[in-house]
Amino acid sequence: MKRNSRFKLFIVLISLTFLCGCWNIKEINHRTTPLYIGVSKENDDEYIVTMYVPVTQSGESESIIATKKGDTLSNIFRQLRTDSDSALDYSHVQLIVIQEKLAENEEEMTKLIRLSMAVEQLPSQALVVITDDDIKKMFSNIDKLLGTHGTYVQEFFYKEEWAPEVSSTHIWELYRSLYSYTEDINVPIITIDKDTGIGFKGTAIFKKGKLTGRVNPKENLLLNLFHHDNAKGEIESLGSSGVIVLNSSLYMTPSMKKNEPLVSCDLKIKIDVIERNDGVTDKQIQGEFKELIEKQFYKIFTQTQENKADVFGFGQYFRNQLSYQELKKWRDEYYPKLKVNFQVHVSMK
Amino acid sequence: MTQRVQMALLVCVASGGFVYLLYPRLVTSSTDSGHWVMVLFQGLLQIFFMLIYKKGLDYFPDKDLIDIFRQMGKWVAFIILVPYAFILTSMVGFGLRAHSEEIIAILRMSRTPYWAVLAFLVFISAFTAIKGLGTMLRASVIVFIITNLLIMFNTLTVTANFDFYNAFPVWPSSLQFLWDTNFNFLTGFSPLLFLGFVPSENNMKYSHLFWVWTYVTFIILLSVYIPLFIFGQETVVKLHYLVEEAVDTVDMRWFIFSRQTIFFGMSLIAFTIFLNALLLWKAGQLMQKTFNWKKNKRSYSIIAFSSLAFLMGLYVPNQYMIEKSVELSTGIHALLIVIIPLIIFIYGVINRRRMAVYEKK
Repeated sequence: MKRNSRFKLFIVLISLTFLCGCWNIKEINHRTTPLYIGVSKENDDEYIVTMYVPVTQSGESESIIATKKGDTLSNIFRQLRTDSDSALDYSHVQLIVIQEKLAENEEEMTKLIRLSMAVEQLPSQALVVITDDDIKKMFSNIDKLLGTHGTYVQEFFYKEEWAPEVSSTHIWELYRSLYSYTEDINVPIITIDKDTGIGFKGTAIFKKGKLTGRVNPKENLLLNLFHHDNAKGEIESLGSSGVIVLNSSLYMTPSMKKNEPLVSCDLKIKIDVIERNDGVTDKQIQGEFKELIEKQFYKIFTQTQENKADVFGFGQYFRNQLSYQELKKWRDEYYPKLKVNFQVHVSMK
Repeated sequence: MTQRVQMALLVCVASGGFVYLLYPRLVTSSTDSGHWVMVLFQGLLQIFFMLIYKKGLDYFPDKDLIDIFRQMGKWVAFIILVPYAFILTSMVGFGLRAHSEEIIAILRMSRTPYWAVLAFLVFISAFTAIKGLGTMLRASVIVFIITNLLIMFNTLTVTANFDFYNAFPVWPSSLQFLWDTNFNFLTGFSPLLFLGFVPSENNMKYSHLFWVWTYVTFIILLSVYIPLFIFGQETVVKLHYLVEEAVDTVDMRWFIFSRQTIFFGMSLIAFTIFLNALLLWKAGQLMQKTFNWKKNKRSYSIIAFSSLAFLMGLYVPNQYMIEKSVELSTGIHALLIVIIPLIIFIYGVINRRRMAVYEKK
């Protein structure tokens, strides 16, 4: 009996050897973990990939900015893996910067989005942005100003009530927009800012991987409103006064009559006046503000309708009123006919 | 009483192993809208066979499935139950292979060979199966609680990315999917036949069955609708591991574990081990009772079956074949889910009538 229990104990202890970890594991200090990746295209058939890798050595953090050129992306990634000082691990990538020239090419962009979703290691919640500037310069600028501050990008893109016009786009959202019948997407555009690292320059509208237009940060706020964000904290300067938005809410009622979609949107905004010229009444400010927002909306709306890019996601509201087969034709048949009755109701504090 | 509750929990846990692997993919590939109708029809089918089976088993209060078949005749038992044991083995083999590929994908262990994960899963399942039903029943309680907490956590965090409009249109465009072969495969994804392995007097009552059914249907709805709410039908059909991709979209940098798919992977492993331990135990039980072996021989047959399952899983060449073989084995299992309850029920009715005639005389 005693011998038997000892034998059992031995078997149990042997199974501890399975606990030594995963297969072929590399400890964290033997890995190279890029934080930001930049993809751009020079000439016609030469890709450039730039990686920003923080390195911690004896307590001090430094960084490496590696650049590689090649004719295909997978070639470059292979080259990077070969030349990197230790095992490359993409699982901590936070930001993918795509050069505008590359993003303008529909085919390349689609390929890139599919690739970034297919790479298993790359987290699908990494952010995607577009830039016009030189990516290497941008990374070194961030590095110079902020060092290897791991959460910098996260904080830049999630400022919510502090800067409601900033929006963010994840890889999985871009991937979804490649296939979705009823919703298109906007991707943030950033530039180098000499003092703060990067600057937000509005967003680019993508229709299934094709860049169809651009909006500035102010207009981007409107797009954010349609994606369930709040305009709280936004400061708007009208000609005669300056106001701050205290709260906002958007109500949509979609309806379909004889294949003609109609949406009535009611945007309720509560504002507070922070500065005003002499003799300007509350009513004037309300009127001015209402007019400004409505004008902005119709400007973007007509522009996107011409491009058949449903960046507001109006199609989502019709998903239940059309059949799945009809939804396929949303962008081409229904969306150009869409009428939007956009009304702003301004109230004062 | 407690044993009945434990049994219900065990069936719930085992169902989890079936549900998360292929179920969402099969549902989304066979209908493009109104997925809940398909799930509901599937659930109705399940409850229909479950009731027939339970009713049939109730005619023999102190006997289990194998005893009943043996009562019908030795050859009937041999013809139906021995192939059943082998089908269970093939389900274990192919299912575990598919699961080990998914676990590698979820836990990002791309450098781990699949056979290592497969060996690990087979080993633990076989070990649990050898330990017997009692062990599984007792362990199922704690596993049920832990996995449900993890799944609840996953579900709650994933809601941040939900867009409910993505799951529309609510109604299916046609009921064509009822005649789809996928629909038949889905019937096989159920541990329903387990009911027959415990004599009916100690088994779950109708109320327990109903609760198990509700839980399983709810889990299925979750596994189908979580990816749908996030990606929408158009994108979902392009993805491979739907639930995993959906759970992975959540930004969890504020949390100690930056990727919460780990939790999903953990609960998946628990589900899988229990499911396959149950299947192996069933196969062992079938062999032992059909051939009237001694008790200790059951563990040898379980070891033999698990080695066979390991080899089956090992030699499937690629992902396409894995899916095909899983579909094939569950398809045959689906056939058994239809046949066995009907046979038991009809035999029960005939038996009752014969007894009545006998008593009259």
